[in-house]
Amino acid sequence: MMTKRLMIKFLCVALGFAVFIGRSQAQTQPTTLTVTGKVTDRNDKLPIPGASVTVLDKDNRTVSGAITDIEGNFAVRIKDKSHRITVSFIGYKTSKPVVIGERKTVNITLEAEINALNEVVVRGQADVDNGTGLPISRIRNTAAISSINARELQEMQSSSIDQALQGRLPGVDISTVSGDPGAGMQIRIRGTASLNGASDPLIVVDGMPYEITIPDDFNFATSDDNAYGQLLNIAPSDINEISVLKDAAATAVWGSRASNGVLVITTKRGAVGPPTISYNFKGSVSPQTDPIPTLNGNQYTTLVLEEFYNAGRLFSTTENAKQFQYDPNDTYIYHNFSNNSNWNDAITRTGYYHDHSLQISGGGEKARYLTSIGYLSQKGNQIGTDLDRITTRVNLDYNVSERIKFQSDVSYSHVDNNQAYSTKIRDVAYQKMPNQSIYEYDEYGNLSDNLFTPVSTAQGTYIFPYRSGASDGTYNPLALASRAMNHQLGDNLNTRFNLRYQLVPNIVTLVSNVNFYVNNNKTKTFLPQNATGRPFTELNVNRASDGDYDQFGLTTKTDLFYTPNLGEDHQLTGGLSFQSYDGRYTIQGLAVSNTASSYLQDPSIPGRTNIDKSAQSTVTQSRSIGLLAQVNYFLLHRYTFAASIRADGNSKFGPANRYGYFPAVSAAWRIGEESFIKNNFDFVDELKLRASYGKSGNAPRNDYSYFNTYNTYGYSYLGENGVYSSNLELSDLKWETNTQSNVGLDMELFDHKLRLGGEIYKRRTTDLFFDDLRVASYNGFNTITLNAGTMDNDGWEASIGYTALRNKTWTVDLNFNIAHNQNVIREISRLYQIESAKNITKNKTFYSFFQEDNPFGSFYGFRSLGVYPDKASTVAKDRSGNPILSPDGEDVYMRFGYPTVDYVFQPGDAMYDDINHDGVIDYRDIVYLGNSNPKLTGGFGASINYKSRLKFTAFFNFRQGIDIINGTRMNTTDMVSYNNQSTAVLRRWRNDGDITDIPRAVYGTGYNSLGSSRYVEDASFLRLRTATLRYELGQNFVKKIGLKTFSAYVTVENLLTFTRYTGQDPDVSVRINNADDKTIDYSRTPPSKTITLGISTRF
Amino acid sequence: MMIKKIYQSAFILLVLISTSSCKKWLDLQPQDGITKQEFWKTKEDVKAALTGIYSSLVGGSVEERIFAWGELRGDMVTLTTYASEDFRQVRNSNILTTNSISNWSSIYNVINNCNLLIDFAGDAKALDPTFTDRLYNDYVGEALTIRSLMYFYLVRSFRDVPLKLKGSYKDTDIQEIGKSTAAEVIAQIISDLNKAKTMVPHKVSDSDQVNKGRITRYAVFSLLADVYLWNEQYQEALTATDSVLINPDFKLVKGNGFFLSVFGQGSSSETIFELSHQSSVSNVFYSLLADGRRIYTASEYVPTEIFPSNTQVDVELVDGRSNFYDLSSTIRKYGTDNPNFTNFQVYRISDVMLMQAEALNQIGGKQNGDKALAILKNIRDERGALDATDPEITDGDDTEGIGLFILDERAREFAFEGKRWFDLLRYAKRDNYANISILQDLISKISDVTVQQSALNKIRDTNSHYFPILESELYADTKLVQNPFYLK
Repeated sequence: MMTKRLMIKFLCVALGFAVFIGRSQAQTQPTTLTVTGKVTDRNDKLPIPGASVTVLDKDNRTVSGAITDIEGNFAVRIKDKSHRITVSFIGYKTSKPVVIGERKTVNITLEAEINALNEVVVRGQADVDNGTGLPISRIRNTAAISSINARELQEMQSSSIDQALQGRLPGVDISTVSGDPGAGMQIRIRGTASLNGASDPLIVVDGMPYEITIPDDFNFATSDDNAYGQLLNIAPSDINEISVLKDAAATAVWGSRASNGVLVITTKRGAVGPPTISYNFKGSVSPQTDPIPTLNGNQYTTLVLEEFYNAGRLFSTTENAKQFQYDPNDTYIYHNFSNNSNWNDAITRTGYYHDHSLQISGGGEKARYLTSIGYLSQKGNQIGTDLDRITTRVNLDYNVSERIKFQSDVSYSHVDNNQAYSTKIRDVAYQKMPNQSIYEYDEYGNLSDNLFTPVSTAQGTYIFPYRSGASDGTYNPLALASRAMNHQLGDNLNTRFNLRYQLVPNIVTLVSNVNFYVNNNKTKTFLPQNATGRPFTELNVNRASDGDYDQFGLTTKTDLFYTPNLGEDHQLTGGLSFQSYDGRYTIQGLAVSNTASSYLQDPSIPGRTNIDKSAQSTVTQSRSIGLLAQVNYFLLHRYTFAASIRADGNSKFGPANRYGYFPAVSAAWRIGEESFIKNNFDFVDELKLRASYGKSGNAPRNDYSYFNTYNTYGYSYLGENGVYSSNLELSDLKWETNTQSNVGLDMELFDHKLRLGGEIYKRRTTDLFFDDLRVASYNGFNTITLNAGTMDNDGWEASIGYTALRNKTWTVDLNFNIAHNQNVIREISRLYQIESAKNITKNKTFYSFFQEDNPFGSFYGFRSLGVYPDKASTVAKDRSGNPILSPDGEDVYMRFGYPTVDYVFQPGDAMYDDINHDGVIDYRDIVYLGNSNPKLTGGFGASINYKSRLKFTAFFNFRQGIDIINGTRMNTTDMVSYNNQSTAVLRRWRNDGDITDIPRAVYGTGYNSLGSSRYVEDASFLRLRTATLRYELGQNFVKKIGLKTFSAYVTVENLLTFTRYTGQDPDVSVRINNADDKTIDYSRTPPSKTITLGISTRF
Repeated sequence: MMIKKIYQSAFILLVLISTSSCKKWLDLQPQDGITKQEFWKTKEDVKAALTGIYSSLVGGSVEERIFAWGELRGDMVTLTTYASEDFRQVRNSNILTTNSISNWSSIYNVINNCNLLIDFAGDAKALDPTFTDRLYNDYVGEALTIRSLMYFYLVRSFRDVPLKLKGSYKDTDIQEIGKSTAAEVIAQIISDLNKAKTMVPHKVSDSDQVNKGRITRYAVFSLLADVYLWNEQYQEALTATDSVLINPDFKLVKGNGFFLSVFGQGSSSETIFELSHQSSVSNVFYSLLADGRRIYTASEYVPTEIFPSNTQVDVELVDGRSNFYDLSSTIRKYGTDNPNFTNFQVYRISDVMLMQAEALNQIGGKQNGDKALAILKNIRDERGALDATDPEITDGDDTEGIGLFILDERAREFAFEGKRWFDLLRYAKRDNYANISILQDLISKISDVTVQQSALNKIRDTNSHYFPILESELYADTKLVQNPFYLK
């Protein structure tokens, strides 16, 4: 059906074309005549061979052409006397068109072009880009849009532009998911406005939406949140400008997918001039950031023995006691378990990165081109992670005539990415018993090359993580990092064809875009036996999987722009846009386990057993259409009024709620142009007040949810296959609607030296989607997706730019941006589980409780008061500090969880604040501990330019007022198991009277690591994100060596971080999708300190 | 101008085509499943849905639940170190309202599948002229019976449960219904089964495997007898057992072949209804009972109290049923191969025989008591039961003794078949908890020493004999009321 529709659409366009061409041919007179001539240089009168002679019609459309011969002569056939001849040649100015008239011979002289390169096209006003192509100059803009020129980012070592954007734009919070190569970033524009719909912003590349999400059902292998960061595969050097659309006036034009903001990326295009070849190189090294120090083997063994002693258990009787006895007579165990291994060192290395990009661009009046090829290779800090990427791009502009222009862009990228098999490897390395050897010793004490992967150790065994985020058990982390495979391959092809036709010159323009998008991904995983040491009878030994995700998207956008000429004082721009999207994807996967050898790594090889869900295949299609009308009216160069309305249809909704209508209005007032400002405050260059209000909609993530579908079981019953009703039909699901109002101020003062911007916004999401809302399971289903709530994101943003110095020698620019966003739930479904973890009596559990009108991400727990130094301190005290006495007059000791648990606190146990002074620590003593939403985010930087040759830039980003639960600390100071601990536990409580903050070690029991304020830390940070020193070689010298420009630079990234956070890295991605989500930092690979050396040259 | 007109009309045409047809254009059908609109059209659809009901029983989570509810609180199994805290807390009578063992969703999932078939089989019948009354009755009757079986498990584990008799398939079907009392649920079960017993044929196929893997009229009567026994309607129970025992094709497998034939191969002459895993999906019991990381093993009481060895006569002599576990206490009843396709026995003829014995004994009278003893003797002789387990009751009037004898014999006969706790509870609650002391003995056997006293206190409250409703369910349905024992 869809192809048929498209065929019709294309036919219409093609038909129009054919008729057009047919007509223009019919117009010409039948007589043809030949015109000859000679092309010579104006100065030396010598003939110019090889010059292009072009015959143009009255619309400057090329009719025919020829090339001059060695004598500079040419001959062309002319069909119409009104046609004109023009000649162009590299290094010469293109001749002015000459009307042929009755002439038979036309001689043309060309003038050499001396400084074509320096010719700059000066436009009256730069356009702002909301991506739709509506030609609106910056002074007429009414929306909250911030832009950044990619030149400012080009020196950073970043494989993806989102990394480089961190902290640059106010209101855009980008956080790291993991520092591993290929891992994605989380981008949030003005907070999270949707919990279960898509919450990533829409990305628009050269005017067309760009798909960056991977559907949830591609979870076949081990893919998880970070696995597909590679989707935004645009080489940073190809990017010209990035704009962020924030308020409703800007996003409403993008409709249903724009409710989380829009990132508009414009790639570079060719410019008129001779071919310019530029080459950029970036190479960097990133040493490993300092890990949390952990115990060595000897300290660890002491700790384990102490744990058992304190728990009153006999250690020598446990089956694993041998691993701690250091008994030289038991040689094999002795050699393999009496080491001081540093597991974290073992799995990490110095990362490096190099990136080459070659760009050729140029063109003439008719055609301009830019083509680039880039290659990037990165080795991650963690062993087994790397990334190779090839990107190519061809951007072509062709002016058929004054009225018809087209662009054709093709970009392709290939990604080859090795990721860690498990995201927990680093976590395991922290906890791995350090007395175990990394490599195996034989019984004579000779070290072999085999990684030591026993079936099990005192710590237990490897557990296959059936769900991402599930426990992995324990294993030799180096074995898993180096032997297990998680190999991802991606091929991404994106083509765009754009036709611009002026129906009425300068008044009505038709722009038509067709975009094809092909994205093929493959994930191959293999878990060999020797990575985990598990016996062959288990299903996770030699487990191979291969998953394919193939996506095909077709987007069209047809715009009609109307720009009537109403005189100087009235400027009107109207636009009508029809957009369609049709995307389909197929997922196929195969898994097998117990292949006969660790070298048989493909799931097509038969294994011993079939595993559950060993094959998967999904075909999904979704479509959407949008019709947009927008108008922008600019009055007296001072007042702008803009309005738009968009109708959206989406196949993800049932027929009843399929269409949504999203209007927006906005206005701007250039106060600075008013005479009372102009006359009185002449330091004001620009002062503009903007206001906007609008709505946009969000569609759910899943397709076909309005059908009740019957699926088959993966097995038969008595030889027959059964079906079951697999889901609840969502007949009631509506658009999630985002209503945003925004007031903004733009100011430029003192000869544009000081630039100020500010925005205040209120953003309300109604009919919030909630996936997996619990329903009573007696309905046969456990969860349902509903529109069930209202959420507010209110905040402000400010930016300041200041040119402190600008003269011939020096230019000093300073900039600063800051943003605040507050996320509050106003209303929520009763079905929503507002409490979590009522069994707070479990160690390491925090309580979350959600209240309407409170922000998400708050968590509660006990208040930690350190450690009971002695018996006397465990006596329960009442409110006035007197000991509580039992009925028979004896001291009562502090208890935990009376009467269900009824544990009496011992000296050395963690002390919690008995808030209600009843002598019992229980749920009544829970207090508010923190919230994982940052209060302020932003960045600031400076750029210093000396004689345009030496340039220094530095950029800081920061986050302030965020509480994070330091999960690694929780796990590395609990002292209840065989897990290795951080060196902080060396100051643990050991003897009566010890005053310390680390409780005693007790194996298996105790309540020393309850969710308490001990683990809650302020993760505010200020980071020197990047500093660059760039030197550009002098023109004269560069010319001598045959180049046009040459510059070299050194960039350091993440060099300094100021924080009080004791964990590995304070830049933890905050992912709050639920009332009970809190940010717990389990130390994923942190972003590393990087030193980059770069070269960029043109010739 | 001409060009402009053509372009304008082309554009308008384009917009018109796109908008007028977008209604259709946006209507996308899923390609990897059948939608409800396309389903429930033919008898084959109904048959596939019926097979789906059975498939939902053998997927693992249902059997896992049945086993946990039927054995975990009993004395026949014990937990390994791989069992989670939730399991341990059940053993220690310290069940929190968040304990995952009381998650009933997999059972209600089966019930919903049954409800949908009962609701929509009629639609198919109206459309498909080849869908005969006989087939229709068979399919709906089987669904009714399985629904009753599920409710019977629920009512024995939770007592009062929500009684959902209408299928849910769309968001607007989600309603709060609260819970019904055990009496209401049992009344519904009895009425459904009485309906089903006339709908389901004696034989659904010529194949033994199919007849035993699906509900037949005998299975309906077996379940009915079980429900009547639970409801202390002994006369009705007796009649129901008669309707099964009248068929001579059901007979005990004699001699040494018993273990292999009944459990190893399945579908033996003993079986009335089993959940068939043959050449389909592997059994969940492998991971629960036989795998290296198994959760359950046979308890220490199995070799000492359930199957004590015969010291006096011949040490070599063993009860044919004591092969169910080995020296390392691994329960072998469901095989030790991986993967494992052993069937799960729901009703066997020995079960119906012992139910009849129990009914007879409860009706009372010497004659009935003697009949009950005869049934016991018959089974014991066939199984080679040892003298050590024979209480040597000869008096048919000894209702109490025979009752206990039946209980013990059931432990031997149905060891590890998910029946022990239900048998104990039925025994204890009979005649207004006349025998509650048996549960107190049980608690002192299975709970940890440290919590024994509190566990003993708890068991006196008869509400504690039933699981709590999982806390998350209470959020989802405000009309649901927690079992009062679990309210603080």
